[in-house]
Amino acid sequence: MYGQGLVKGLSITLKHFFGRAVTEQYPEQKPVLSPRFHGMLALDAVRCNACGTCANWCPNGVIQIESVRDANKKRVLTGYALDMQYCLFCGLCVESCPQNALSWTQDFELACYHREDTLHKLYQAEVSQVEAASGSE
Amino acid sequence: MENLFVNLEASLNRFLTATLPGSLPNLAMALASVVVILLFVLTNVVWLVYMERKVAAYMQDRLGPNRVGPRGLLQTVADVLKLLGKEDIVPVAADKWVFKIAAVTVLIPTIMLFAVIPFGNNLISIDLNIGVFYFVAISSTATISFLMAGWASNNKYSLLGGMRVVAQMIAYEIPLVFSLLGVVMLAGSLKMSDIVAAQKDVWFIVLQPVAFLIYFIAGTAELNRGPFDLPEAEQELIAGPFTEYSGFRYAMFFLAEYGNMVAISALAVTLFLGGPSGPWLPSWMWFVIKVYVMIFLFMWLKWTLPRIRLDHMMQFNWKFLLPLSLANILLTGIAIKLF
Amino acid sequence: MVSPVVFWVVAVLLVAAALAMVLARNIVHSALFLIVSFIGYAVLYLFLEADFLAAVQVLVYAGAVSILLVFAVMLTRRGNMQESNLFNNYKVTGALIAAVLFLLIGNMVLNTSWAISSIAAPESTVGPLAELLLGKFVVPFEVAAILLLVAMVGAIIVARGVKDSK
Repeated sequence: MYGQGLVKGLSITLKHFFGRAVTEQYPEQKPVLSPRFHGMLALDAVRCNACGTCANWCPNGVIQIESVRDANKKRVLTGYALDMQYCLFCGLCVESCPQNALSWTQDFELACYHREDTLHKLYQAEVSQVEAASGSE
Repeated sequence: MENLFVNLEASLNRFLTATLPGSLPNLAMALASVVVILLFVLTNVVWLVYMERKVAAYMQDRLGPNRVGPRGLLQTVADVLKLLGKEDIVPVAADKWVFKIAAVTVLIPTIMLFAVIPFGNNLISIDLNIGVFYFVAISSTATISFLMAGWASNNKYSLLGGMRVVAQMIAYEIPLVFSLLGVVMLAGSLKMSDIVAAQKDVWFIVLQPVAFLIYFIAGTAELNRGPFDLPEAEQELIAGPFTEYSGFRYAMFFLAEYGNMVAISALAVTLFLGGPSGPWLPSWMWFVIKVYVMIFLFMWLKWTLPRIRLDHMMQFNWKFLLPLSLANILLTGIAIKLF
Repeated sequence: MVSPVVFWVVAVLLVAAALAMVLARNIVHSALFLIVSFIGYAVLYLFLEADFLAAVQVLVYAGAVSILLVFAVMLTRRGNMQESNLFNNYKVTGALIAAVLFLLIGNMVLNTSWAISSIAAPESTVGPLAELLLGKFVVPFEVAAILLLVAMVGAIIVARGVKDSK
């Protein structure tokens, strides 16, 4: 019959008219992200043994690791920085970390006004700590 | 409440007669009704632009404007202010006078249409003997401005849009007028007040359902809305005749478009939905409610259906709507003779 | 008090628009001026209390004929619109004939003693018109309708061309 599709279409739009909106009002209302979301990286500095695997795996050379050797010739992390302007959020660093020290966070608000601000220092040892670690050599 | 506006009008009339000499009060009263109609149209357009966006948003599971003012109510005001602040561009190759005049004349028929609309009991600017015919005659001149705009822009998209406006509006005007004829035959008058009075017992939408349907479809086409928005089909013609317009001239076309929607809805209410009559509430409130029901129908249709194809648009009109409206007139005539 | 002022304003506008229509070099401008003069006529009909006729004037002439006119103009669009409505070689002859005609009509208008009807204008013009058209003059009315139909069918046949018969 003529007009059947018309009625069907009109009823669909009317149903949605009274249905709930799916819009998230972003700045006030934060989105619920999946647990596997690739946001900002987080470093568990205690676990990290500064092996440098993550920096090696990174295709874009985002990760910059500074370390010193302590009395037992063991690497000690003194600085961990991410140049996020090059990061493509592939997650190879997180996958490759033998200590499971790297992880993703839900923080996606990484936009900034200056290029320098894209450098994120995840860990920076105090000067005294660095000296204590390397000085005992 | 019922006589709120009637009393206002009477007191204004008394005040003017007391203060002004000769026939000036009549002139002033005529001017006053023009001003009132302008205010009515403008406030409605401001509200309608907001409503259109909200209705579209809700039908698409969105929220629509919600940032400017409470619930986004001041969005249109912000938009108008933005348009006012824009650079006024007239293309070098355009026919400058026609280009500028088109943006002004487009609003004139829209405002004139409201002269014969009964907004409530005893609330009609001029109750012409030929009310319905006046409405048809004035609305037929609306095409000229679109064509002027399309031609003067000296842009191929504008010209194509202008051509499509003319083709569509002239074609759909015929079934529109014929659908009105059924009502006029039943009421036995072209006078708006007589037609409203004839619907005291039963609305004409019950007696003339086919005519109402034809009127609604043809009205949508006349408004260049909904599935009939070929003249300004964004994907192919940018904005049709308005492509080269910017700033407030563009706003004028917008104003006319929404003003025409109010006018067509108001005529539908007057002719098919019993005019401004109804229980409990004051008549003018009933009028506004009914008009907004019609406007919602227009919006609902627009945000449901995809755009119709050009050849289908023409075929539908000449091969379906026109014979249907003629058959409706014939049947109405036979029915009147029989009963 | 108001109506004479309005009349003269409209009359001057009307004549100006009609002249502009003839003299405009751009044919689209001519068509637009024609619309203005058509609407001017409608206002004059209103002064004669012929409201139905005024509405017909707007609907049939200003609304439809003008559009068709503009249509025709645009289908024959040229490269330069500035010179699409030029005068031909009969400029002087035409002006002469027009002047003679103007004097003739003016003379007739001035010499006629216009009787002012004392009968008030009818309340409603539509009803009596319909009764005349569909009662007393029904045969000419229908003949006119058939004539238009014939013209329309003829136009379609001319436009489509007759199929070659086998």
